[in-house]
Amino acid sequence: MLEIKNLSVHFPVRGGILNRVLSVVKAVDDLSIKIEEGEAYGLVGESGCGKTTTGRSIVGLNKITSGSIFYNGDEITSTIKKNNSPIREHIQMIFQDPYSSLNSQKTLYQIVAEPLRNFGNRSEEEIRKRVLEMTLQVGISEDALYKYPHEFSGGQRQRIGIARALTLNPAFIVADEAVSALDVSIQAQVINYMEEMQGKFNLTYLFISHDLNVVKHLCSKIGIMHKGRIVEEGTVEDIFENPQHIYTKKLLSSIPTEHPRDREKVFKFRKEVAKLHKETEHLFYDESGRPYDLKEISPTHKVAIKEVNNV
Amino acid sequence: MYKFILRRLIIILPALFLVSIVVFFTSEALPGDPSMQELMNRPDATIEEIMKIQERYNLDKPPLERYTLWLKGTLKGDLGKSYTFRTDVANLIKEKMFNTFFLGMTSLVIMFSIGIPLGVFSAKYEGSLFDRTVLGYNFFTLSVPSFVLGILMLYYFGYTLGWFPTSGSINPSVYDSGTQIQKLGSRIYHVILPAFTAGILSTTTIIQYLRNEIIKNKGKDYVKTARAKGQTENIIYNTHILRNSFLPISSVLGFYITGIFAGSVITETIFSYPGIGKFFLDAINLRDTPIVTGLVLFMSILTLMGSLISDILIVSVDPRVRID
Amino acid sequence: MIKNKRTFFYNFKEELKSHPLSMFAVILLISIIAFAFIYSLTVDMDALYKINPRGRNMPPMTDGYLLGTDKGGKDIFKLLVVGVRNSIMIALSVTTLSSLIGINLGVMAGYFGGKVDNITMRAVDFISLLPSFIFQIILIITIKNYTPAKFVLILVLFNWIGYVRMIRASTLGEGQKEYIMASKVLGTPNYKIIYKQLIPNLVPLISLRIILGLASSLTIETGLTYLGFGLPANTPSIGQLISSSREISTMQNYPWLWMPAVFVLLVMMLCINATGQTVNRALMAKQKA
Repeated sequence: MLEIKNLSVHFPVRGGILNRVLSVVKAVDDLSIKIEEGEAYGLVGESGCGKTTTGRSIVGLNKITSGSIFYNGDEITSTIKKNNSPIREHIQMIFQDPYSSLNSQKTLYQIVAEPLRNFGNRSEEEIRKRVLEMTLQVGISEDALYKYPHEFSGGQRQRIGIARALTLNPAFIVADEAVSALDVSIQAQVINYMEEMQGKFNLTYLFISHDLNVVKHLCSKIGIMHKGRIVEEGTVEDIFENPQHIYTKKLLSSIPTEHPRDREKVFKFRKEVAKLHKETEHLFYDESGRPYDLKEISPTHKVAIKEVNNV
Repeated sequence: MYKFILRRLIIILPALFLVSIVVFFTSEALPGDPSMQELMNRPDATIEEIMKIQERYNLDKPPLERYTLWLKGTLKGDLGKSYTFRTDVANLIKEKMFNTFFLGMTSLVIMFSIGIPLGVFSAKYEGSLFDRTVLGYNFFTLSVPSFVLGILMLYYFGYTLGWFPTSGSINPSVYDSGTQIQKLGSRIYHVILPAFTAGILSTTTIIQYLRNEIIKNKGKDYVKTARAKGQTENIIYNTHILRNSFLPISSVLGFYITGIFAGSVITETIFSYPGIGKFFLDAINLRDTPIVTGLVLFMSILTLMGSLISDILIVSVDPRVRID
Repeated sequence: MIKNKRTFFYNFKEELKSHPLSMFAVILLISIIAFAFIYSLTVDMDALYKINPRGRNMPPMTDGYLLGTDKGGKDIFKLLVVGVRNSIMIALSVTTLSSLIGINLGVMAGYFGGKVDNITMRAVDFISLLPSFIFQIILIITIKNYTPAKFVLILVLFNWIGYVRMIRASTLGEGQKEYIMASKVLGTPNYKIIYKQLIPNLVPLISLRIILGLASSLTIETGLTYLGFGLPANTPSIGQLISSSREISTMQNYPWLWMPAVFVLLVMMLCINATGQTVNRALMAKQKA
């Protein structure tokens, strides 16, 4: 459904007397992802690996240095940059920070109604009906329609953000760290809502997160990102049961465990991974530290490694 | 650091050039042609005499050529000849410059000697009656326009009470035959009222900055750490808090230098103090274009220098300020 | 419909109620302005400017002249009231125009960046390097057919930059927030984002700046008129009245010519700044909430 081909996003580093461009920061470096319809693809990595930049590039919030984006076969790389592009009725985004993603000066009604005013020439009646419909969908009652964002909790605000993103009935949603700013208990709640929405409205997700656990629950396919590139891609089983890339292993080893009995096991695992990293780094990263291109090791599992027989 | 200064200078040079163009051509539009003046005074003057006057001031040449001649002269230090005084503009400016400079420096001293103690102690005793009085004083002084304060000071301390002279920069007899000490004394005596006016008005910025900074720093964690380590309150105050709080003052200094010459126009006019501010006004009223052009260029350059110094001061004193 | 309790105007009213002095200042200011405008409608300008040789330089409370007369026999009280009105009108015009230009340019520069930002900031940097007071005087002298309207324009030329820096900085900060990004993704056109989403968040800051701008325009106008530039001599104004003090004999012997004007100016400035401080406190209260 959505395909990213060789996406690169470089940010210039300026300096010197005349403010010349000294070098570039390669936030996204030759990245390619294919997301099928109905899938939930989890893009995972630490801060600064480029996953948010990728997400933002898809919806046109970033300037793309090179590469292309395809939606259902059509290239949308240039059209996605315009605010009023009709593709917006198909691709939408949920944001990370519940405290700044809603305009504090606007009521819930105004916030959810905003997209409806941009497309479709709807009458005020129609808008009101739709806003009410979406608000109830995310579990917020009608009498809260004219409240302001600060009157809602963080979890409620994220749900409002979800409602807002779904008003135009899009088919593809980019969720950029949609639950990272919430308390753990609320995270579960919001993720459940997202699952529900996916089933009801037949949505396709690109779920960006730094938390492997969260992604495990919601997503069918996972892509691990490091230094602007995908270093491993596969199903949930592939990644969790059979991780190949040392970075994936590092991420997995850093998940804290709640069982005191497992503490020893996990501790040993971490040390192993650290040792493995030192020994095998050259297999996964070239001399400049850049990860290699992805190579297939099974129909669903890809790894960024120098040569396949090193597995 | 040197890269920063260099970069600023590179930006300033074209700005200076543009300023010179703006200055020259706006002054060009000033009414007041000495050759026409002469004609009005002596209707029977011959054409040759009128042409000679025009030639003397380069008025018979096209504008672009006049500009280039003027610019060339300026770079050498020659700002042209005054219409009314028949001497070099540069010399006239030099005389008045000293007075304005003296006034500026005295105001600076007053500004710091009043502003700093008030700022520091109002922050130290935050919330006290003293603090609230200082805040009230600050508010009042902020609102007062400069010429209002000047007029009131002149009226009460100059005329009504007669404590200070109401014009001039030095007693003429002292100037002629006084000793150095007497001359200095007379100068100070004459400069007190205007310097006080200008100085008081500037204390507001210092007090605000200092007070805000000290109060902000008082609550910072590094202060609490110092206290927890057992450091005496006095030392905490002087070395940690004060030293950090004085940083923004450097920006005040810079802006002050820039503002000295703009504010001098009003202050010197009120107190009839013969500095370049008053000289500017006199020249305008006399329609003496060369003086005006020269003065405005001079004051523009000073303003530019002031802002450059201000930037350099801020950057060199406060390590937090990034050079962008 | 539940109204937002923490709006800016609500905070402002609260601040007024808790500081009676500020309330007094605001009311005083409004009264002065209202009185000036209304009373001026009753003044016959021609009669006001008729030279009255017998009644020259009369001290206050003689012959029914509340504040006395000036050296042409003109009624000082009427001159003052009309003068206040004129000065306020100039200050309001300058502030309105400067803020419209400055705020719009500042928002554009901050939101769009790029060329718009570059050109605007170059202009701002250049103009702010010039000594404004001096250039304003020169422009006033050199402009042919000088009118109060041209005076306003000259003042605006140097005044608008005071808004740009602040607004641009706020826009840069606000524009990074996610709700702006969300609006773009939701398909809202840029002009709507700027005026309907962004600027409402800047209203308190803008209000504060405008009030302070009023104070500074008033000071500049009065100062320029005092020096003889600015409003022409045949128009009553505060600066005009104060300028009579430039003559030594007038300053010493006929203080009623210039002192009332000085006093009124001072009071107005204090009230405007007090209002500004209240606005500032209301602004701070919002952050706390």
